[in-house]
Amino acid sequence: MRTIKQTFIALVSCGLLGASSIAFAQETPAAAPAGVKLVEAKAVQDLQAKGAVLIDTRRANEFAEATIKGAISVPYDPEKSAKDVSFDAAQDKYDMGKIADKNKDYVVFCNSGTCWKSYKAAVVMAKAGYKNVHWYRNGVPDWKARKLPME
Amino acid sequence: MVYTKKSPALLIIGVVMLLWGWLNASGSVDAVQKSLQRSAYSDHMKVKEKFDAEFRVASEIAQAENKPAPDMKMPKSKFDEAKAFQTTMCYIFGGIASLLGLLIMAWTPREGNFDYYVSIFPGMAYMLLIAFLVRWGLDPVFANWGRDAQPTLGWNFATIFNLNYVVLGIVIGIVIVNVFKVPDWAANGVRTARFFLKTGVILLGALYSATELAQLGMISVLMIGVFVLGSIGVVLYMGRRMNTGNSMTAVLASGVGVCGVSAAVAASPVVNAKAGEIAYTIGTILVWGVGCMFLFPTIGHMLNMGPVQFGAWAGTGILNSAQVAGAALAFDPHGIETLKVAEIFNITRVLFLPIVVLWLATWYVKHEVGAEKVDLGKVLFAKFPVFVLGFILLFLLSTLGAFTPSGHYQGKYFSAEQIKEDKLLKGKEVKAIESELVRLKEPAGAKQLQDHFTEKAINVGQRHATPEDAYKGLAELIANKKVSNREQETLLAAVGKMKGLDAVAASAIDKASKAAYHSSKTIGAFRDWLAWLFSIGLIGLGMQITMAALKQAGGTPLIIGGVVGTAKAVGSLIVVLLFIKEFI
Repeated sequence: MRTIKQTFIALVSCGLLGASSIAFAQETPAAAPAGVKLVEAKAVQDLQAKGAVLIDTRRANEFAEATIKGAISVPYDPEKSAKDVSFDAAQDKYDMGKIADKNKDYVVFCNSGTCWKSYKAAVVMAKAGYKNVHWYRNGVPDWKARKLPME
Repeated sequence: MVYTKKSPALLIIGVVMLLWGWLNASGSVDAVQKSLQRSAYSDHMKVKEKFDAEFRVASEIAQAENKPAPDMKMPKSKFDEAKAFQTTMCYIFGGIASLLGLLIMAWTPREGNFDYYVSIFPGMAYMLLIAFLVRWGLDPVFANWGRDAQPTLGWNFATIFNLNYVVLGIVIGIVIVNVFKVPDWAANGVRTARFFLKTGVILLGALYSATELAQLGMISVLMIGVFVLGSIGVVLYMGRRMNTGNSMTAVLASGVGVCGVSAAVAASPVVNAKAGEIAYTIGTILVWGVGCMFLFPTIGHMLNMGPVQFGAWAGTGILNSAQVAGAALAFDPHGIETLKVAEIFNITRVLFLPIVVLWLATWYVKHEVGAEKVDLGKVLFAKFPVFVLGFILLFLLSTLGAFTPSGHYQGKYFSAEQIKEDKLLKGKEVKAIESELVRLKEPAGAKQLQDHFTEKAINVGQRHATPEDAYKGLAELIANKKVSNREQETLLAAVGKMKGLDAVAASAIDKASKAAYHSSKTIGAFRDWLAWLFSIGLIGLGMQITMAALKQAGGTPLIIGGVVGTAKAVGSLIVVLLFIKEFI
């Protein structure tokens, strides 16, 4: 009887630790989604010089703190869908009211690596019929590291 | 008698600790740590992303200039620091345990002081190992579960049921003693648990400051004082009448009167409480507290209580701190004032702890020897627990501002002067607030503000907040780029939570109000040590709670706790309804 009790307790405690290990956010794919061009900092600067709209998809407070100079805030927020290429955009909110012109050049960005907001925003925009969507995957950390203008 | 038991246990514990330290240092357990320490890990990812970007750019530049790849080191994140801390702890204590373990294996113990001192180490190491498990494993696991289940349940069960290291430590101790029995080699060391608790109580004094009381209105301080001291008096009287035993009565009094679990723990060494008695008190308080948490909001709505009234009632009538916030949120999930008032009352109640500890210490000493009719002054001088003086001394030092500005609560304090340069509002944030201020000054905006203030029952001192207050606060915020005083911060925080406010402006206000609160590093260190001492002490205490001990304590504490809990809830309800209307 005693050994049964002890084994039970041991199993429960192992289960406790095991159950807590859940999957962690993975990085965004290195390639752009269909209908979207992947761009680097240099190309972003050129596009901006030609009149492209830079879209900060991070939360409003992150935008207010510091962003790429000249960018506008269109937060992909709240982001409730899975951080995966097969995400369900219906679970999230992305208000494209401020960027109605579908023929303009757009550059979407957020933080690099594990931030999926710009990836998802690019997918949503491409599906909605935006023709010139660019994805600046490396985003703000990259821009900052290059000491390019922020505001 | 020879106390030291020849056993490889201490050596094994030492090696296990060293192993865990080494696993952390080598990064082999990162996957486990990642899931346990979620917030530290998200900080780690931010630091890593910034570093990756800098490294990539530096490499590109180096490559373009035909130079070798740059030599850069990633700065330490909170996650790295947390792991490094675990490694250091494990290396120090694992090292000591291993050395002493080897000594025990090699040496033939002989009667004497040295034998006695050696004999307590295996048990202490045993408690410490379990404390590692509780604080680094179970505590975060339950916290994560609570947060994960919140959307489904609607409430965080881990917070509501107090499933932190305090309760988990006792529970795991109980499980060990009742399922496995405390091993022979550990028995002597486990008896030192009380020493850890006492040291913890001394440190507890540093967390509170009497200056914080000055922030509150006289009526609320008076009302809370009457209820705290009154319920303690009633418990002490009832305990004597029902023959519940002095220590049991005193612990129950502290728990029921002040703030539940932590007060019971703080009072236990003061009155030499037995482990079973503490367990009973905590059980009574938690059961009662959770019951109140569900019952209070319903009654509050039935009686049509206002937010300030309900906050005052919950803050006075609910036994345990963890459930006060729960009840306030359940009463008014979107309200601000209810929670604020409840928290103010709760904090005030906790600040009575020093008086209560002194009272109980005196009461206990007096009643333990009461029958002999001796000179009370002499007995008090001889028997008064010395560590209580340490607790009072640290409380006084803390009140005088020896560790941090004196107006603090658990190390958190408000200071507009100490707001750092980089926490000041930036251009874009100020602009967003400016344009919101223009909009809010128009009739539609003014009405929106007024409705918001009315709906959330926002007060400024002894009157309702008006749109003019908000204009003044916002204008000052724009001019100074930071909040200037506590009243202004409270009001602006309420404005920032208004629906329909521009997102950037809302986050800027939130940032400004958070920037004005600082936490003291010194008190943080006190808190951390206290947590370690308490968890070791409570695990050891839990190991003394056998089923037999629980049976011995009997059902009287439940009855007394229930009667006093009900009396306090009803009494404070009547007082609140009579004397508190819309303001405190």
